[in-house]
Amino acid sequence: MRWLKSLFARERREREFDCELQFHLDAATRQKIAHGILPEEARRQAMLELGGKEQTARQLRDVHGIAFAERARADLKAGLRLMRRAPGFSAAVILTLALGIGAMRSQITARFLAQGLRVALIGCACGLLLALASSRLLAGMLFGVSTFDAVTLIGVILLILLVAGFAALVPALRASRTDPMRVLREQ
Amino acid sequence: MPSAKADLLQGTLDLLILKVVALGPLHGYGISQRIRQISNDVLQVQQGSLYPALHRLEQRGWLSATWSESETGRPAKFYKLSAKGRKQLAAQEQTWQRLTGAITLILQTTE
Repeated sequence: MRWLKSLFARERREREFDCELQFHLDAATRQKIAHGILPEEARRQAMLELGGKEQTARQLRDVHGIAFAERARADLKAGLRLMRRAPGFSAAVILTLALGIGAMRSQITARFLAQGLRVALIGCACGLLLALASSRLLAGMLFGVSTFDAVTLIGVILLILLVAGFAALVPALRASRTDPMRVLREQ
Repeated sequence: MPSAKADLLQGTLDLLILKVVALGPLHGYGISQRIRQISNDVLQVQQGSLYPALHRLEQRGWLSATWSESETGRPAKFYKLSAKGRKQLAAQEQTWQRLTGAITLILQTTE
């Protein structure tokens, strides 16, 4: 979920990187000036010692895994390329999946899915309330960062529902695959 | 005298950051200054690797960061040791002592 959040929070994070590194540069420059170095030269040395602002910001970006979204896109592209290279195999896999989730079992599947999603929905509602309540508390401690981010909240909720849907799908499919005759015989 | 300055060993930067921050919340610049001062100017933190390390430690939950007003009145990102980080610091300190103790023993051997 972190990567989704980081996608939305990207701009905010960039601003924080800039703010933090600029603070460092200013502090280092000020100290050099105090040691008798001319302002222009002091600024140049500070930047040199940091190894450049943009270079450092790039490293921070890596640390935060913002590159994750870009990597995921590359993976998707590679997957599509593979599918194109082996169209027969891909078609067979897709067909098998489609049949597996097929219409015959859709009723049982739907009921199980609804059960799973209901729990997830209740969880989301509770979580949203808690998040709104705790953001009040957090607001006092944060600088320059809005604690209410509708895009993130909605995105996270959608993602949770999606994951819950997939999680519910597994037992739902297993249930739908049970052979009624065997159940009767075992009774 | 640049020859008396030592480069940081691989992996020791995390330990030094945790130790210095254990004394109280500090911003990145303060951390680099503190390390330099305490080591009598022997240890120079490569500032280019300082900030990635700080963010990595924050991501691991060993440091917690807050923005608050600095001594100059401008907002700065202050890093603080978390409970998890305190445990980590103790473990890393112990490992370091064991390692340097063993190396010292070997260096002390005479023919």
